[in-house]
Parts: sequence; C-alpha cells; structure tokens
Amino acid sequence: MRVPIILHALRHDLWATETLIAFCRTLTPDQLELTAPGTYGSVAGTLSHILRGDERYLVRLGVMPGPMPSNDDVIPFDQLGAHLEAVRAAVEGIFRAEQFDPDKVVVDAARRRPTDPPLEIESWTMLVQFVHHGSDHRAHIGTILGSHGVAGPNLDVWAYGNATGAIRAKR
Amino acid sequence: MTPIMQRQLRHDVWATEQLVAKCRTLNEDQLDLKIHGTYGSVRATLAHIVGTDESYLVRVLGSRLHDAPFRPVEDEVALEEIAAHLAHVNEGVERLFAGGEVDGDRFITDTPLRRPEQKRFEMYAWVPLTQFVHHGNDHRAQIATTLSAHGIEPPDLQVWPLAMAMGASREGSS
Repeated sequence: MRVPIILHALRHDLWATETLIAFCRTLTPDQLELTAPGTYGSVAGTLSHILRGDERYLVRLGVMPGPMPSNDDVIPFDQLGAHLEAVRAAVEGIFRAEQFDPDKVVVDAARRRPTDPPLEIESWTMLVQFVHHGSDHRAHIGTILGSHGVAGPNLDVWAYGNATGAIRAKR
Repeated sequence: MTPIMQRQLRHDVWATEQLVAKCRTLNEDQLDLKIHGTYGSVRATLAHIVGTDESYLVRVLGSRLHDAPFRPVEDEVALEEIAAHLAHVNEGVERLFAGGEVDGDRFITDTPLRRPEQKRFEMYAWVPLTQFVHHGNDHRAQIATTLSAHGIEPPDLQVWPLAMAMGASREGSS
C-alpha cells in the first residue's frame, strides 16, 4: 500500500525531534536553559512546546485523548521521550484505520478566550501546521546552540533518508 | 480532492511570499542583517530557500523550470530576482500536481541539474518533497529570528493565517 507523502513528512518530523532530544541528553542542565534573542525560549522549554503543540493538533483531530493539553504545562525534560512515543503512536493511527479525509471539519472549542466562538478547522491544516511548527521551533534550538558554539545534529530529510535507506549514492 | 502534499507546498510558497513582501519594506542594510547560529543574511537565506526549492522541483519533475539554474551570489542578489524565481517555484508546484496525487514511492535516479563531476543520488520522490518543506520552514525560522533579534516584527508564517484567509479555518457559532 502506498504511504501518503504527508505521513513521510510526519515521520521525519518525529525522527528530527527524537534526534534532537537524544542530542540534548548530552548537554548540561545549564546548556538546556540557554536561549538566544528572537527565539521562542530555552532549549528545554522549546522542546516541551514542540511536543505540546503536536499533542494539541492530535487532540483536535480526535486521534489522541483529551483534555486539550496546555502549553503552560511544561513537560519535564526526562519525560519528553515518553510524550514523543505517544505522539508517534497517534500519528501512525491517523492513516491506519480508515481513509483520512483532509477536508473533514473538526471543531475546537478550547479557545484562549473562553468567550470566543469555537473554531471550525479543516483537518489538513492540523497536519501541515504540525510539520511547520516542529521545523520552525527545532530551527530555534539550532540557532540557540549555534550561537553558543554548540554544533547540533543534522535534522534534514537527507539525513533521515540516509538513515532509513531511502537515498542511495551512486558512482 | 486536493492532495495534502500540494496544500503543504502551497503553504510553503505562501510563507516565503509573505517573507518577500515583508522584505520589500526593509532597506538594503536590513536585508543584510544576520546573527550567529543561522545560515547567513536575510537576503542570502531567502535566495538560498528559493534556489533550493527550484532544485528539489527539478529533481521530482525531471525537467528544468527554466534554462539557467538559479545559482546567484546570495549576498548580492536583488530581492526582485528572488521574487521572480519564487514565481517559478509556484508554477513548478502547480505543474507537479497538475495530474493529481504524486506517487511518493516513485524512484528517482538522477536530476537534470547534476553536473558530470557530481555524484549521482537515487531516492524516492517523497524525499525531496519532504525536504522542500523542512528546508523552507527551517530557513524561514532563521530569517524570522534574525528580524526579531534586530527589533523587526516578522510576519506570522504559520498555517493558521493562511487557513483563515482560505476559509479552511473559521469561527463557528457560539
């Protein structure tokens, strides 16, 4: 069965976050709190924010159980891996059960201001935003590390493709 | 039904267009701003995004978007030249999906842009398409960080503002 390209993109996204978490396990507690102007926050705080975003998109799609996680509920660094595995299981489930309908409208009543009306959102936006959000904030962490003289891991799809055998170099 | 990957690539092109529009409000010195830990100046990074987008599309399409590849001196290229090539990227994306869904498992054995002395890479079509999106998001984030670090508000490049503009996200009734 053909794998949807968006599923490859989501799998790459999770691999990249996992690779970054693994790298960050080699950093000191002080390094995990590094930040840089113009980025989201600290290294550890940004990793938590990436996964909280992932969880919120998946709860909206109905493939992760609620309640809607709060971004203010920071995931402890040593629990990031467990959250990532739960996100991965939910992502794989999106395409396993039935045909994913990108135009299906989901309703998000958990607005920042409770008096705001619920949002009606087409499902495809959650998956595209999932990938955008991850790359965006991992780039922040890359900038923080680079600006402090720490060389981070290569997170692009070439590295993922090489790791998974999807790319072959020929003479 | 519009393929999700096409929607994803359209968001990517839209986001780069938003950045180009923002950059049109900056002066030449601001276009040359840079910070540590990023690819380079705002101008160079934008040129890098667009030039690389073209190369990914050429690989998947199997044909050039135009005669000479866009390989500018990234620190010197004019913003309008970048914008002109972004239009080629937009056309390439639409051409790619003109026949509907793209088979991501199709095996690509070479690219028309490879020089004879360069190594040849074989890969599935999903690889350059997924890299297209990752690469754009990654470098646009660097530009946004550079602008913010210098006190310039970057545009919101998330999917939400595009979805609101398209009607793919809207406020329902209370």
